[in-house]
Amino acid sequence: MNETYEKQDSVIDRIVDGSLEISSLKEYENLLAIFPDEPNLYRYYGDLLASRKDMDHASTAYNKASGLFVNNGMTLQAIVAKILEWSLNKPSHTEGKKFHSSLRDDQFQETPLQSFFAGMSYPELITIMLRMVRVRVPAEKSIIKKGDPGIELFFVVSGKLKEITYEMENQDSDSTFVNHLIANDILGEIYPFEKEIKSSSDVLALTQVELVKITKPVLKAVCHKYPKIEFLIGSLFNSPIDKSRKRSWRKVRKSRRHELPTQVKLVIFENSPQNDKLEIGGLTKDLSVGGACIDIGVKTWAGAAEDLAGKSVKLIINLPNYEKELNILGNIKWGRTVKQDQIENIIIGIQFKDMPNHQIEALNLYCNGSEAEQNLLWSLWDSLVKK
Amino acid sequence: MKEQPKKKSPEVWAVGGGKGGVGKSIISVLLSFWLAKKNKETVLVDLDLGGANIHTLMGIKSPARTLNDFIIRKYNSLEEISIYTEVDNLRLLCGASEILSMANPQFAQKVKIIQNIFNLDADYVVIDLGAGTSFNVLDFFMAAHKQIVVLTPQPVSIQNAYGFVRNTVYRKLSRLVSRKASLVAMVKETMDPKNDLKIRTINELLQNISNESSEEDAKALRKEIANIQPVLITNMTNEVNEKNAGRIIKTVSERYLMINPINLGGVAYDKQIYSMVTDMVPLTKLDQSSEAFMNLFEITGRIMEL
Repeated sequence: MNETYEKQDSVIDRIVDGSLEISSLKEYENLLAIFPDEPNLYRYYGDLLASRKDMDHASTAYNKASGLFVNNGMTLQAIVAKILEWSLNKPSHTEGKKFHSSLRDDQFQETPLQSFFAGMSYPELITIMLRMVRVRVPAEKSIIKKGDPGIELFFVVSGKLKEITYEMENQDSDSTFVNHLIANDILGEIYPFEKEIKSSSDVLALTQVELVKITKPVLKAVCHKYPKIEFLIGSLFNSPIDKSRKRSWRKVRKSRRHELPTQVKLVIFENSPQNDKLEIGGLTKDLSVGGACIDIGVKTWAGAAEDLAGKSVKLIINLPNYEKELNILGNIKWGRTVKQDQIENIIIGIQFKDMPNHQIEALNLYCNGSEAEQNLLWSLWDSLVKK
Repeated sequence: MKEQPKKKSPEVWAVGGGKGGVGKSIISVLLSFWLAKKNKETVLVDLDLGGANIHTLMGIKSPARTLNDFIIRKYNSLEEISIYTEVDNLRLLCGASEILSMANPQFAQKVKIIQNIFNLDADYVVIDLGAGTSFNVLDFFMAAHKQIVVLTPQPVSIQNAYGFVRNTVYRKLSRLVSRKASLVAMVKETMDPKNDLKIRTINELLQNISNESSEEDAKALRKEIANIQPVLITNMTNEVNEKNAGRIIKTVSERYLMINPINLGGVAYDKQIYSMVTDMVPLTKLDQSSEAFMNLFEITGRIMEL
């Protein structure tokens, strides 16, 4: 049977899992115009800038990403972005303390991982950050094999993994537990420190995965200097993991993009003297008040996807909670042909023009209002099940 | 009778879903069948207290003993009322729909049934819960190790299945906060998505609890909610895209309820099953060429692995 992880429809999620590669700074800038508050976009934009040796702008992008990650309660991702920023631009003591404070906001101590980092003092946090090593693992690569000595602690920054845990005393295949790991999970059997623990699990990357790791000897040395960190690690490992190895550390993400799969209609204006227009349908899972990315299929546009950029467009959405169709004007800022499951689709990014208040309100209500749950059910049925 | 050494407590699977007619009973029968075929001692329990019909699906017209006999203390244990079936390793505990009082057991009766189910001498117990989202149904559902929700691709079924999952979460929250009046009121108010507090998600509710009550309360509730992990089975699928119905529940649940259901895909619509039910042919005699039959074989294995 095929692996059961959910294939991503969202453009942002595809960038994160590596299935959509953006190699142009201009493309990132266009996407950022559509999603100006998307931390992952800033993070990957920063990576591209750094690879092009544009360190100043990369540092700015990482700084922006880190701030947005903090606002969204994504502590680990904020720390990684901050590590990258500080590797390019050494911080002042004040900047460091300010970052540390931002992680200790009460509302960001909801998951064990958030509590872990928030529980550290400023010097403790900096010590840990300095010893974190970033690791990128491609899809289908093994990260840990059963029997490997437990010498590294990994934190999952992004991506999806599969963990198969075997009962150590019994090689019977009935005694395995399968667990899917995502961002903010941890792996690596390194605690208690005094025990020599061999891994009872195989861990495999299902998508491109980014991890940060700390080795056991390094961690032990840090804990020797800062005993409280060992206490925090103990709490992490003592967080409830039941018999079937389920993890309860789902990330806490505040809504910024409205990830409602929504059927839409588009009228693309050709800007020709004849005022030609192309009317097509599409599906969006990245919808915000500022813009949207829309999958328009493959047969709707004969030319290159990139040629769509610059064209004016009218987006028509039928919202369950709005009497009329919502007509939103915008410009196509970005277009790409994307392959998923051997099928090519064209995805375009639209930046909306200023909308009247009633439209903004309708869109917000659709995504966040009291009927949002039902709206989402209907919207998903429309896009996933309906013939 | 020579007393056999007691086995370990069974793993209990509860099958619910809110709406009637989605195939919960049929799914329950076939899951139990496959567990038994995997050499696991299995007991199938009909807890559809107002409409017991599992015995009919198994080809039994009038069961000799039912749950009511246990409730009224005609028999002292569930073991005594269990009925062996034609399938090796599979026993049946029949419900009793002719007794009106059974549709609404008292609290003590409910506790007694749950305790005795967990003491059954079996590897697995599969409970068919029947339709609806009454407290009894939800409490039996939450007591199980594996919580299975059956739905069909029709919008009404999807809505009902989501409602069932949502009610499960709120029922759990209500029970957890039952000793704190202020929290009871807050949870009750936020069950209405249009509440005046403008709390739309479980996450927002827990943040509110953290602000209004204590952070420790919110943390404890968060841990408990995270343990709710229903398994979703979409029944009677005809087209490939209809198998996505479970994905809908999963997506909305993750977003609004802070839980992470497991979507196990679809069970194909099978005319043979309809005919067998109509003709009262035991479902366990289903032809192994049936796609639905084999879908459930695979799903059984996957639930066992969870």
